[in-house]
Amino acid sequence: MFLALKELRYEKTRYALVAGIMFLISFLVLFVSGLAQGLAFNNASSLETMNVDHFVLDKEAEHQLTRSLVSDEDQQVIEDGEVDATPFGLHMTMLIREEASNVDVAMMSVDLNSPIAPTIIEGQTPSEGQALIHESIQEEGIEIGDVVTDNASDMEFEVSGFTEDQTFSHAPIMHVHEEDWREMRDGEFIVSTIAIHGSEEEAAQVGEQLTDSEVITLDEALAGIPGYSAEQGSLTMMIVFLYIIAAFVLAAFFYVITIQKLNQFGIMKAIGSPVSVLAKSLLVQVMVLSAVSLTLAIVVTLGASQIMPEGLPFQLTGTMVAISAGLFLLTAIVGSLLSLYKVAKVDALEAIGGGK
Amino acid sequence: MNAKLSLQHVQKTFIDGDRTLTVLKDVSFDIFPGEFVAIVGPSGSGKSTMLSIAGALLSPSSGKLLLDGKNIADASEKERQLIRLHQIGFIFQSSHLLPYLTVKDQLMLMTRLSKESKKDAEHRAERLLTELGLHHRLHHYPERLSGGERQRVAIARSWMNEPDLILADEPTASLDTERGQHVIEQLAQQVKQKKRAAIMVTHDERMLAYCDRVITLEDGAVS
Repeated sequence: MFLALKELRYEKTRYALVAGIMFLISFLVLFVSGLAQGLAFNNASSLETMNVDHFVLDKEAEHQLTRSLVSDEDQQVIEDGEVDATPFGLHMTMLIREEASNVDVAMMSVDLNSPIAPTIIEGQTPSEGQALIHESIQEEGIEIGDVVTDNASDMEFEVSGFTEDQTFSHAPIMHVHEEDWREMRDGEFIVSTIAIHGSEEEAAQVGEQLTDSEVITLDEALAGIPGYSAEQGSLTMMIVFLYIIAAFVLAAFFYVITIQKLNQFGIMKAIGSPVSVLAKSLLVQVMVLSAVSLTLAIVVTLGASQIMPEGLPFQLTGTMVAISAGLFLLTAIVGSLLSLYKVAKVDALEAIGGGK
Repeated sequence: MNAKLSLQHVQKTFIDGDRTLTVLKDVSFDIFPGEFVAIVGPSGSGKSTMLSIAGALLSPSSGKLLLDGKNIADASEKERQLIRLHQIGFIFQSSHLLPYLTVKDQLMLMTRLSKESKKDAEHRAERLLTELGLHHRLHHYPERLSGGERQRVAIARSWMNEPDLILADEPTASLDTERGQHVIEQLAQQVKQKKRAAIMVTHDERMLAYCDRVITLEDGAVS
């Protein structure tokens, strides 16, 4: 500690530069992570807020909720079973408006008293001929009391209220009354998916009894949404590369600084310093610089998220920040390994002129 | 009186590619407490290697190396590190101070490494620096000191852990005559006062006047 901190204080400019680079990289990591998480939430907030870990889908739907249709037999099996479950219908459609552009929505029907019912933030529960839509639809100029036409069924709906955190495939979800859902399909209630409120074991048990359907996890359901994996994949790749770049940049910086100081390390060894003191000093410097730049990056990221425009999907949870910070510290340590090796190998004879 | 340091038939060979270089052929001498010994010799005579062996930086290929009567020729890396820390004080050609430590901290570093109590050490550091005329420099960084002052700080540092043996490798090489003589004078004085032993490798004939004895190395042997 003694050596490490005294040196950081003495060589302010040099170490401020290193800390500056670390700050920029960690800021970028946090920012892109926030964006990835924000986009994921914006894409499928309805599934993420359901608090459900397992869904029953048609085996042939390839994990796509909008493509699935659970057979009557399987519905009966789940109804007769002991596990609580909520069936719901879901499909993508479009709202037709006169003198305004059409809007994509995901139409959904679910028992509004069930655990996965949406939270109404404005207006009231819909009756027949009415619908709840996610609040983001207001950006299209649609308000409570407006009448919209569903392109697929030609049915008209009056907007009765707005919900929060109800999107699917980046489109707002429109919740319609069960009777209307039935009417669309000639009186039959089409069940796309069944949400299972139970443990993993219970969900697996259910899965064994089904004939035409399968039980998939939330992550599989999310990955099944068209575009979701591509979106998350490219952002994740950016984040992974940022960590790798960080490791290389730090390794290069610390290596150059260590090479410059080899003579000093040689002297230290000659006057009787154990290698552990030198290694510890280097690690303390890496840790202090990382901690300072990370703290700064977290503060700046959270500050930036406050002044970001509304439409920018950005979400950074405490867990995410903690994971990123931990990974970054780990990266910094990995980056300093090369320097540590160099320090361990330093020759005390360098201190004495013609030592060899 | 027992010798502080005793080299007995010390030999050192290096392997250079497929050749074997014998740098020290057969070196034997004793240094007694209170003695200040100079080692001279042309370059390539093995002075630096001899100093590295005496300073527990290198192990001899054969022969005995007694420090305070104990043979340290075959000591392990860890043992040699502890010997360097507690029993030997080094003074290098150029002062080799750490640029980021103040004069006082240069000395305090030594006691930190040996895990000694801080309070006694602070007294001793200040006393040593005062003796060497550096009291006004306690809180200055090396870059603000003159060459002579830096070398005196290096001497103070080498005394800090109260070693049995001081090894100086051309300590006046980077100083002009007057400053060089002043530094060596102080070194000689300290050796006498504290009854320690010191070896100085030097090229500078004028510094020999301060030494009790001169050992001449030639082609890896005492002549």
